[in-house]
Amino acid sequence: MQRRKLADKTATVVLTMFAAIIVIILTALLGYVLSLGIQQVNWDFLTSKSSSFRAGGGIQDQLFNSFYILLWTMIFTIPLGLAGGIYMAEYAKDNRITAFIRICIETLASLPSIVLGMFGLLIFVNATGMGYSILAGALTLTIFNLPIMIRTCENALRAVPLELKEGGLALGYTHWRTITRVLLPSAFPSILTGIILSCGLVFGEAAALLYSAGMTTPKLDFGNLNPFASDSPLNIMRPAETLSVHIWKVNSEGIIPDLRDVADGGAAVLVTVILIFNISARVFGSWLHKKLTAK
Amino acid sequence: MTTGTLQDFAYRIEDLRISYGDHQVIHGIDLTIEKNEVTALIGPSGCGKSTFLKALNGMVRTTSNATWSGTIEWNGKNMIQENVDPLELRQKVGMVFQKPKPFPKSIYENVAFGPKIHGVKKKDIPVIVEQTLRDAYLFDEVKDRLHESALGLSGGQQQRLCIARALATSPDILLMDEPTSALDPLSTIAVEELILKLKEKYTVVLVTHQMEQAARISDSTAFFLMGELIEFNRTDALFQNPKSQQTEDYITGRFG
Repeated sequence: MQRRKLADKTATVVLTMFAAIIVIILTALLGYVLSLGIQQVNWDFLTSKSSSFRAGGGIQDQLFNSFYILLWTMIFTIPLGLAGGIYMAEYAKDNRITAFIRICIETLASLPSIVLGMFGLLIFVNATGMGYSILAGALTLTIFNLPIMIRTCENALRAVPLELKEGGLALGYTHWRTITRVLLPSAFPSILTGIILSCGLVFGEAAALLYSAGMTTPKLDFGNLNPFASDSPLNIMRPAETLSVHIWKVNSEGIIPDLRDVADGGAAVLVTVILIFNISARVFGSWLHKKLTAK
Repeated sequence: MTTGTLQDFAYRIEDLRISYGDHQVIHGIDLTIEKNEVTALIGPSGCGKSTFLKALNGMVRTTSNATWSGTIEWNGKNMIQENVDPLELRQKVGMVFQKPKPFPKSIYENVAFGPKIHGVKKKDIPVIVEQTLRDAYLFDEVKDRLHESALGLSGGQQQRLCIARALATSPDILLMDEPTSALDPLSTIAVEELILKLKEKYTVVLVTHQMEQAARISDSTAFFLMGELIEFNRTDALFQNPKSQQTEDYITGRFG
C-alpha cells in the first residue's frame, strides 16, 4: 500500500515536472524572440519594403506574401482535406485499399518539408514550367498540409455521435445529405479549429518554400490589383519570398548592416502571428462549441 | 397468429433471416404486427430484437453490411424483394433511439428537419412543428424557447423531442429502440404515457429490456431468444400464462 502510494506520488511529481519544463521552454523561447524583436517592430517596419544593401528595411512584401500564400494554400487544402476526410470517415471500407491509403497519408505527413520543397521544385516549378511562383509554393504547401487536414476532418467526423447520423438516416436523409446536413455541421467547430491551427503551421513554414515560391519578390505596386500584372501583389505567377524564408535568408546570406535587427523583428512578427492563430483557434473553437451545444 | 388483408396489419414478416457477414443473428422469424397497437419486443441482450427493429425501416442495411432474406411486407410490398424508396419508407416509418440525441440545432429546427426533405411547403412547417410538439406533449414546456438549442433540454424532454422529430414526417409507424433506458424514472413515466397516447394514431413497435414496461404499455409482446421468436401473444396472456418454458424462465427472472 505504502509503495503504491509512493509510486503514485512520484508519477504525479515527475509528470508535473515534465509539463513544467515544456511550459518553461516555450515561455523562454517566446520571451527571448519577442524581447529581442519587439523593439524593432513598429508601423514603419511592417509597412516598408525590405532593403538589399542599406539599413532600415522593412518586411511589408514578405508579410503580405506569407498571408497570400497561406490564403491560396487554404483554398486548395480545405476542399481536398474535407473530401479526403469525408471519404476516410464515411465511405472507405475497412479493407486493404483503405489501409494502404492510410499508410500513404501517414507517410506524407512525416516527410521532411525540405523534401517536399524539392518535389515542388521538380514538379511544379520545372516540369510544369511555371517557375518560382506563389502558385508553386501554395501547391507545395498543400501537399505539406493535406495529411493533417484529412486527419483533422476524419477525426472530427468520427467524433460525431453515431446516434446523430442514425437520426438523419432514420428521417429519410440519404447518406450524402446526412453528411452535409448533420455530420458536417456537428463537426464544424473541430474542423475549424484544425484549419486555424494548420494556418499557423503553414504560415511559419520555410523549407518547403525555398525552392517553390522562391527567395525573391519582384518590385510590387500595391496599387495595382490586376492579378495578371507582373508587379501586382495579387499575381500568383510571381515569385514570393515569405517572412520565414526572409528571416532565413537575411540570417544566412544577408549583407545589410542591420541584418540582426531585421531578423529579430521578423521573427517576433512571425511568432506573434502564429500565436494569434493558435490562441484564436482555441478561443473560437470553444466559443463555437458552446454556441452549438448551448452549455 | 393473424393474417389479413392490407388494411389489417402494419407489417407481415415471414421467415426473416439476417446475417452480419457469416454470422446469422435472426433465424427465420414469422410475425404480424397489428396497426394502432403497441407491440413490444423483449428478450435478453444480443437476442436480435434491435436488429429486427432496424430491419423494419431498412436501417439494418444502411448502417452495416448486413444481408437479409425472407419477407417483410409493408404497405403492400415485400421490402426485401421489391424496390422500396428509402425516403418514402422512412417518412412513413419513424424511429426513436435509445439515447436521446437531438441535433445540435434549435428545438424548432430539430422538428422541422424531417418535413424539410419530404417536400413540405415552407409556410406549412411552423404549423407542423407546433402540432407535432403538441402530439409529443412537449409544446407547453418549450413554446417560449423554440429557437434555443435543443441540447439545453432535460434528458426526458430531449427524448420527447426526438419522438416529435420522428412524428413530424407524419408516419404511420413508430419504431422505438429502448427509448427510456437512458432516462430517469419520472421521464420514463412521461415517455410511457406518451406512447400510450400515440397508439391512437400510430402503430408502435417497442424494443425494451424492461419486462415491466412491456407489461405496462404494450398490447402484444414478442419474446426473442438468440435470434429466434420463442413466443408471440397478447401481452397479458404472455405474461400470465406463458406457453414456452423459456418465456416463463425469462419473465420470472431466472435468466437474462
